Amino acid sequence: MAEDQPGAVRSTAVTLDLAGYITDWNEAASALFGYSAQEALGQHLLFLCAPIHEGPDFGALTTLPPDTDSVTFEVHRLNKSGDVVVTDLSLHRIRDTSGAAIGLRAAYAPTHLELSPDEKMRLYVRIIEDSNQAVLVTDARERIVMVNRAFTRITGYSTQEAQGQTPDLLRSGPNDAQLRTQIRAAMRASVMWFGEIIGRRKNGELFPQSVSISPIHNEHGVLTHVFSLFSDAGHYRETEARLHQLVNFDSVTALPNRLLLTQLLEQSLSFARRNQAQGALLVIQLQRLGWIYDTLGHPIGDAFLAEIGSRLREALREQDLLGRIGHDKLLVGLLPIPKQEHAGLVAQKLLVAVHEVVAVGGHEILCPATIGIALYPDNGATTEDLLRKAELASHRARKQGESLPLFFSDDMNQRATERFRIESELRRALIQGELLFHHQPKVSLRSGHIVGSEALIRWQHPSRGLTSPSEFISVAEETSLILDLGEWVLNEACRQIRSWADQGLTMPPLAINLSARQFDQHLPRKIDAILSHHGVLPSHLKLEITETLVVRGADQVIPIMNELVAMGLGIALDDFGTGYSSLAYLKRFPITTLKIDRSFVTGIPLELNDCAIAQAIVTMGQQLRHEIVAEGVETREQMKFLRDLGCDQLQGYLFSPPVPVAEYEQQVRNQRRLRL
Amino acid sequence: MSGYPPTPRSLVFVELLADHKGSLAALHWTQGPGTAAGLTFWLESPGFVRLAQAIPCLWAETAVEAWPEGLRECLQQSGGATVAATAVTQCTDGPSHPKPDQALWVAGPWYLQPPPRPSASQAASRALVLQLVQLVAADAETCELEAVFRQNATLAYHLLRIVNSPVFGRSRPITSFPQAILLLGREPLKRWLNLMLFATQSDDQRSGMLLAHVTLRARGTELLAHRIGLTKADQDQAFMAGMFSMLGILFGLELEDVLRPLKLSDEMTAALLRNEGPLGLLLQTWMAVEQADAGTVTSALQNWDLPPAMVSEVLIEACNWMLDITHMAGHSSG
Repeated sequence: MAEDQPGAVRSTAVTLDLAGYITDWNEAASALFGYSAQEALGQHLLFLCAPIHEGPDFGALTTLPPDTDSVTFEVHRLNKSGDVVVTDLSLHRIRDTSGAAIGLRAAYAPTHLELSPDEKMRLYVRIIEDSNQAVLVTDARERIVMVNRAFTRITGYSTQEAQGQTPDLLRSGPNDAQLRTQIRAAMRASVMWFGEIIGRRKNGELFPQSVSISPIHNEHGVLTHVFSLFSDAGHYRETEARLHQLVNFDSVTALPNRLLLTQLLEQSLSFARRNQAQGALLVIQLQRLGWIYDTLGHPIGDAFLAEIGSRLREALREQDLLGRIGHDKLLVGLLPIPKQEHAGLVAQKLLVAVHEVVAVGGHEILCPATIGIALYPDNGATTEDLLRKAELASHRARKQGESLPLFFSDDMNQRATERFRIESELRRALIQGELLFHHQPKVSLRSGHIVGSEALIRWQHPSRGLTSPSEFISVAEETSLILDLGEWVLNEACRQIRSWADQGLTMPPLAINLSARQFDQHLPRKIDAILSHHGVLPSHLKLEITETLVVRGADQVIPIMNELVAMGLGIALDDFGTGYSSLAYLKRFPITTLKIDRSFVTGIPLELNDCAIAQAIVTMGQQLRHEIVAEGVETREQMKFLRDLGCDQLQGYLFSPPVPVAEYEQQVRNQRRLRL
Repeated sequence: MSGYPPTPRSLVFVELLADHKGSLAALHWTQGPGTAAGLTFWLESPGFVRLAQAIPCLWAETAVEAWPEGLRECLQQSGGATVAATAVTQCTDGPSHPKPDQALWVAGPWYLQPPPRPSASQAASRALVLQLVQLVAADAETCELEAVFRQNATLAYHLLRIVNSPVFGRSRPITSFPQAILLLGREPLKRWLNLMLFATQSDDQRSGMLLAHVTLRARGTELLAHRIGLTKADQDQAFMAGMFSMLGILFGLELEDVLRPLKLSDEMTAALLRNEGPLGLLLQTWMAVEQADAGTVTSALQNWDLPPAMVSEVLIEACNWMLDITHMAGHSSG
């Protein structure tokens, strides 16, 4: 080995114990990785690994026979400055005299990255030949000495045809003389010239080219060659057209998007205004599109949507406007129409078109839709107003499960106004501290003791008194207010936990509900910051999310849940049983608790179906070692049945309704117990 | 596990018996204070029958002779057996094998002696590491990985140690195995397991008896936490406390030194080093079960408002789990 030879550089050697922790680190290792022995000793060998590696890395170890004592493979490691070091890693097992393995030795030999002159030359030739840009080299007398393949592709001249010619071969017009003077001046001044000029192809066609021209000098400073790099700028024009398409049209349906459609509607409306014509805006909402994408995948979802778009286009007159204005929303502009009733007839026709089965990729898809209609000029005079009202009508149709098109009416407007009022009052409530928690205890079905509580939000409204969330959460959900509300809940829960600790009260963990809207990639960091701000340990806070949320977007939700669990937070699946989870599906979620939805508890023990569902949930939960909590338990019979089933905890009026914090504290202080 | 099995009326204890090669070979049951008649439905319980099918479940011949006729029949029908006092040899010295003996069964704490070479970096079970490598390669769910870590104290210890090493170091304590697995992340987990696979040439260096003892303690403490109505999070902590309480013996080092690199919660550290706090009390109670200390067990269970004989039912479930994961039972885990 090199280290045995006098004067040779010692090789990088690191000794590890059998668990992979560094026990010896030589100077060569310090030189290679930048860490001193003091910094490296006691660290696990993984501390050198780059976050993303190429090749199998330690994966090379999986296929070795168990008695292999030595192995070498290439790895990518990070040095102290954060640079990647590509090196061969040799791992050897160290044995004691009895032959027992006592540790490992890792030797690193950095891979040489320097290229030989031959390799360099080979690479240069390939890079020039395979470049997408045309290369043209002339000698000092402006004769072409070299061109590449891209030159031939763009200009149509082969190497033989170009060699010996001057670049005039490509000149196209009267400004050439002036250009030539400019370029020559640049070459003399030894600077690069860059510009866009018009060239002429062999077939006579003119083409725009972006070109850079640079001089090459010999060691005495004498100009020997000039090389030009150029590309066919005509491609950029195509890109511009494509960009226009992207900005104005929906890529899936090729229909105008919201931006373009709004402009077109503005034009049509001003035309209608001038001619005192009537018109209508129709908002079509596809109801199961999210489900189609989630279950059948994006290619099928896209194909389905494109088909719906083309069916609608076919069902409309040429002058009618059609576009996609949201994920599952399409907008139709009927401007003008001879009679307002025509809007309803057209809408019916569109519904029939949408409701017919669409066959895509071997699937037969049925997707219900709702249509809301706003009339011009009766319901509004501007695009914005009409669009809002058509959306409101569509939203209402959806809520009512309406299969017929729904015209906008004034009471819809009133309800919208009411919602707006709640929204603005709720904003004020957040600022002025009108929100508070009521706590509903959870008790153990083993001991009867309180083992946790769920914090439920209440609004102490200045004029309407204590308001339950059913009156305002749906409004918050429709606006960004739900995010502010969610943040308030997190902060308030942590503040409460801190306050209990400061008072010396030992309280069981507090659970809060998270909304679907809150559940984005920033949530873990947000919660982490709030926990740190209040100095609260994650084990004191529990998170509850609804089953429907996780089932709807499992692939997006699971990584976020994983991050939360990695932080030490426990997650409960709320309203369980309503979201069609299967056991296989449930296994994917890193949850600790299943809460049986109250709708199944109500019928226990008389309704056989409810009993069977509860039994199935408990069995499923036990198999996955989840804790099972029954919600909404009101009677001793329900309690007894659930307890015999193996349910762990209950929550409900049988023990306590949601109560103000002082009352809850009293229950815990008095060690109030459920009689089992 | 289904619902709430009826609480037994008699307190029983169990001792692990080895064969002369030092492998787990039988369970030796003894009765605590109380009448033997209370054992009837415990012996008839499906859990005991299942256990008796998997491994010899022995009662001292002298004790059984004093039982009523009906109870003796019951023992026979449920698959249990009697053992003569002469067939069981007591052995206290180790380190890794009981004395070669023609005795059918070997009892005693011989396997709790220090290993030949004390070290906290002992290799874990190669079979389990390989199983984990395969699970990770197949992109298995966290709960499936957790199930493997729960089977082996050395692996579980190394997992917590790597997560707490400076490169992954986090400021908050680790309170569950899923948390540790998710904190580490799949890519580093894969690399770590691959390296462990290379380092672990032979299988477990310590006796299977010791591993069975650790497993039984971990599961027993967890089940005790469940029976007294603690939450899932506390049950997980109880399992970890039971498992990690044996690390000192497993590695032949001071427990405090072994635990130092792990970022455990204050409650866990207090329980493991000083038997303090609710977790400490659970651990202490289980150790009293191991030592057949009826007095301590009875008073602890009464403090939790539980009949002391609840331990008998917990022991069956814990033993079944231990056998399931040591693959002796050959039937799926319950």
